[in-house]
Amino acid sequence: MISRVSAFLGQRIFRSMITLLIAVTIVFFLLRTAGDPASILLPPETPGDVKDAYRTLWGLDRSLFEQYVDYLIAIIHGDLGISFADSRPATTIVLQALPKSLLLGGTALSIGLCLGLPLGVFAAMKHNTLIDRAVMAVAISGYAIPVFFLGILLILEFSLRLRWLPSAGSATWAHLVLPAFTLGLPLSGRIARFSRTAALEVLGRPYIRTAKAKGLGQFMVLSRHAAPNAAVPVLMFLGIEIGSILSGGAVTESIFGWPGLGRLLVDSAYNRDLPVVQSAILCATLIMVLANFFVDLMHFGIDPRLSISGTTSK
Amino acid sequence: MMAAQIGNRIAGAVRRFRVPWTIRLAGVWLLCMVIISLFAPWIAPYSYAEQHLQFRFALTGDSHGDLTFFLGTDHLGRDILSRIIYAIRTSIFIALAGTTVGAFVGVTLGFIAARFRGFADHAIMMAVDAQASLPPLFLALGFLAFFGNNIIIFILVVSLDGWERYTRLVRGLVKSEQQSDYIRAVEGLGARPRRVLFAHILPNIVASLVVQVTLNFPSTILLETSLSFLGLGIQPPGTSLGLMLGEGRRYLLNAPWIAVYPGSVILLTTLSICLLGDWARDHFDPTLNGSGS
Repeated sequence: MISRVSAFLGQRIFRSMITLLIAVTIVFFLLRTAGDPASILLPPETPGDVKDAYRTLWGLDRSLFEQYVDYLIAIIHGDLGISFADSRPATTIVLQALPKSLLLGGTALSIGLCLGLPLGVFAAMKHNTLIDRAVMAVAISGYAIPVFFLGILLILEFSLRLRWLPSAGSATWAHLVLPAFTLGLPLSGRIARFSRTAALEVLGRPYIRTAKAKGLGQFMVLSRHAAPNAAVPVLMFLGIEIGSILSGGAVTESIFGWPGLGRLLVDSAYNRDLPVVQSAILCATLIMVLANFFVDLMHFGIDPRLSISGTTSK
Repeated sequence: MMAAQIGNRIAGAVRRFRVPWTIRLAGVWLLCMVIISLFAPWIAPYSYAEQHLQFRFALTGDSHGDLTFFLGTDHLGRDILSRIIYAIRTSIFIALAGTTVGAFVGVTLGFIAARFRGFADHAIMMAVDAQASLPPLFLALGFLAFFGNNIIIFILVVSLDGWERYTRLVRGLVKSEQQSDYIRAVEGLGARPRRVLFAHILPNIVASLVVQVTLNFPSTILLETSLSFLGLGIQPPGTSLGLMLGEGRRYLLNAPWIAVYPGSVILLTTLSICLLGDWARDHFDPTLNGSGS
């Protein structure tokens, strides 16, 4: 049992490392194909001899492979260049913005789960009724509504008309409400739709019929037999959704002036502050890889098939 | 021929199943969008860049002499309706071009992975995994920051969203088709691999592919409009639905219509494609049927 867990862990850690390495490689080659790094990474007004000094310092006069190895070593040391905009290390700036993003993304995820899961399961239990259709009609707009349009509508209604909530900044908890719902509401729609499908699939299985036949109440059937099995695909779905929370977060943060990672990336992309851009992208990749790693771990923990029969079905 | 087959199947399905009114409505809306983007210069009452500075922030339906602004004007006195009509054209074109490039690359890679297996397969699937673990908008912003912005780069950036899904789908489908009896029979008759792939496997997976394109299209439109909204996509004086929303954001208090009309157009369009894609998957796709994801 223990060896199986460690083999599983080892395999997943290896895969995560490979993914990170590929992402780093992509960013490296993008930077190199975009032009001379010395003129891109240094502020435009840098004198020529300083640029030459940096070329030697960064080893740009050496072979591409040597540069690549150096780049990897620099990344491991957390050295990703100096921001043009405020001349601090890019990693420092990114790490400063990160907690705000985690707060916003985490709140949005909680909103999505608290609204989406019950709605989805409820719709599955009332399958093919008016309630089911109504829930799904709301849920499908979660795929269709642009985050920026929802954000603007919320600002229009709750900040400008009703004047209940602030529309920009991050000073108080009230500032969190609108961006969190902008990001969380469409997410809850997607979660509702997916958990409905997962619940429908599980509720049709023979073991649910068995559980009902042996006289278990509806709550027990749902909580002991349906939920653990339906949780697996929903969990996998959440792993994929981390990407859209990050992407949607970038737009949301820009609308609401929320000083997180996404807004930092948008602003830096606008100003072509490339050290910050590459740090932000690598940071987002790291978040996704870590999130998916934890999803795999939890999958291992909750999937009844994996923990009892001992065969990894993946 | 393939398109005609799909056309016939759709026409047959419309006759056989009772098509719900939501789907019909969605189809009509999308048809309108296509017609508008094809004939924008003839439909729009004014040019999208024409400024009527004396009539800035005109309300919906305002008319001044022989000028009528059905959806009002913006901060430069430009007619919103005309701008929306041209913006629909831009947004649909970018999304279509991006989808075409993405689908072509994705499908080709999927074929290569399934056909050659071994190293090519591993390399391609690694790239797929890496793409899947990069948030699309982040990668797109990085691309635009590294390479600057022009229409070709922008289309390539938009095509980044989703190619890996085509690769995964095609690779899986081709691999499972390769196991089937009819393919073994054709191979037994001595057909070359290329002929097997294009003459026998492709026609059998094209329905799933079309459904995947439809399911993917809304997120492609949203990527384009998001980037334009953030000011990193289509640049003024050009116009896109996202860009209009981004400009209107500054005048939200006094002239909310500048942002609300183009936003509604985006919402209705993506919603229509979502509905249509779901419906198409339930009725035409033999492989995804019932999985619902």
